[in-house]
Amino acid sequence: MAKPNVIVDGVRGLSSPIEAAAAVEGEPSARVIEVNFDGGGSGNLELKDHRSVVWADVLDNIRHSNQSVYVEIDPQTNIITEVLVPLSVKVGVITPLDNDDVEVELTISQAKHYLRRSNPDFQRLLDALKKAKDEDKDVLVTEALNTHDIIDLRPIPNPMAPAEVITPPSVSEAPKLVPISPQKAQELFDMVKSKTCCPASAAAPCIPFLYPEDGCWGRAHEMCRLMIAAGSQPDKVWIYGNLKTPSANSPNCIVEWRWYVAPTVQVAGSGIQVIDPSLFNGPVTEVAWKGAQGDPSAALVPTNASVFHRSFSGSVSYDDPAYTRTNQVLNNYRNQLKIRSVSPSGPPPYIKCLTTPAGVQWFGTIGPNSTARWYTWGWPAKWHVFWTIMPITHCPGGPQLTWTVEMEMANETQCTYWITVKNLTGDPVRFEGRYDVLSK
Amino acid sequence: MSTGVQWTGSLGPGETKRWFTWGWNPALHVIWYMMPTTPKSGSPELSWEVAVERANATQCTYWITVKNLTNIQLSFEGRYAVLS
Repeated sequence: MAKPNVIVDGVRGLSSPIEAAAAVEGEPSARVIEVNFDGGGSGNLELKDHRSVVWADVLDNIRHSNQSVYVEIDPQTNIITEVLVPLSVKVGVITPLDNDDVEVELTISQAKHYLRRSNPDFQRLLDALKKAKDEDKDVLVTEALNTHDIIDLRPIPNPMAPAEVITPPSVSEAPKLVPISPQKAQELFDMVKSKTCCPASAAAPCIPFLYPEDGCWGRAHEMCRLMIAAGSQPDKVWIYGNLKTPSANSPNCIVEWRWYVAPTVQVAGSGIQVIDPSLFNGPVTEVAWKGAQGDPSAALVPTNASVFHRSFSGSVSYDDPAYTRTNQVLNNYRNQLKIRSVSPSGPPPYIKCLTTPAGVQWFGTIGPNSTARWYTWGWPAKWHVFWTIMPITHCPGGPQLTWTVEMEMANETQCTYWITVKNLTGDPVRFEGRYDVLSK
Repeated sequence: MSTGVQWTGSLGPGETKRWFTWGWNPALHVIWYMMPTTPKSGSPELSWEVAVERANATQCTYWITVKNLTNIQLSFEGRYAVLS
């Protein structure tokens, strides 16, 4: 049985914040946003829940883009308790695993998806996946946050006519590529990297590099668009295999893929270089790019930039001239990034995936537009110590954090530093609390 | 440790302004401090506050807000020290 308190539907509208009826007589009522769904259902976002502002943003975005959302609603209070973004996909190969789970190929998605035997709906979902595969129909698949475990599958309410063009566009002979300088390659890399989305306020046209698990084909197509607009001639490289790479931007500290794609450029003196801000801090060789993905037997396939998606079997879909599908992909994974960033996992990067550098006393996380204070005790009072704060959550566009330091002389030899950090943004921010001992 | 002057600025009486300086390596531990170059004795001349933005994995931007506490025009140096 599917969960009875789940709605998977389009969003018809959101109210302005309103006062809800008090749940308990004599207690103040909550401020809520009422969400109405296309099928007539409704639920409330309770504004005292810190996730609600971002959820409202995601729901409004889904309303504008005519997509569907998965919500869980408390049947007693009608409060929305979970918001997830389903994938609109076809079902591909279904592979039983040794542990009785099932791996499911979803198209288009680079990630590995699983149906767990422990799911109480395992058989019903497996049957639905097989049916969708046999009928080659697009379906809405919802996964648990962070795990790629399938928890829901439904037909698409109002499927659009397939937009994929499966024949290559006629092209005259491509102009001979002129290699660019290493400096130009770095400039292109920096240019696309500067489009990085802030985690919880990711707004178009930013690129969700901080959600590495999926959506690479949309990111790659958008990066190519930007590079072409800047006068460059990028290509793409696709990789197929049992891919996995460490990533501090995934709560699992590792991401696994069936395939992956990124733009490439020809660089004078160093050949083909891959432009991939999700994995690297600058252009890298294809060898280095492949080497980071953990499968020495993986296959690399180059294509030109107009290939939007290339499947395992080699079938390709070509240009997305109006970037409609590209924007849908980017929009979808911006929403995934936003939802994750206000979940218990918080924003990337994930501290458990990081090693503590020298001179870092602690990693902190601070909520949007918040001020919080930390203290660190037992420091020799005769030392001269400076404290600085460095955000590790990327959010270009303005100052994120400011801080003040206060001192307490605990006894004749020891002092305590009290460090107050203020988040100037609407995004949660992780940071390093750093110290330098100037003299002892 | 290394030190330097990143910029020189001026502020009108009682004025507050913000400067930013970008492209700094976030791995460096950098502190910022202001030094008036317009002499005026008897009371403090400037105060400042530092905020920081992490633009990406390899670059950060410092935003420095400086306040002129006097009733005269002031010039100053925006100084930094790289601690490690």
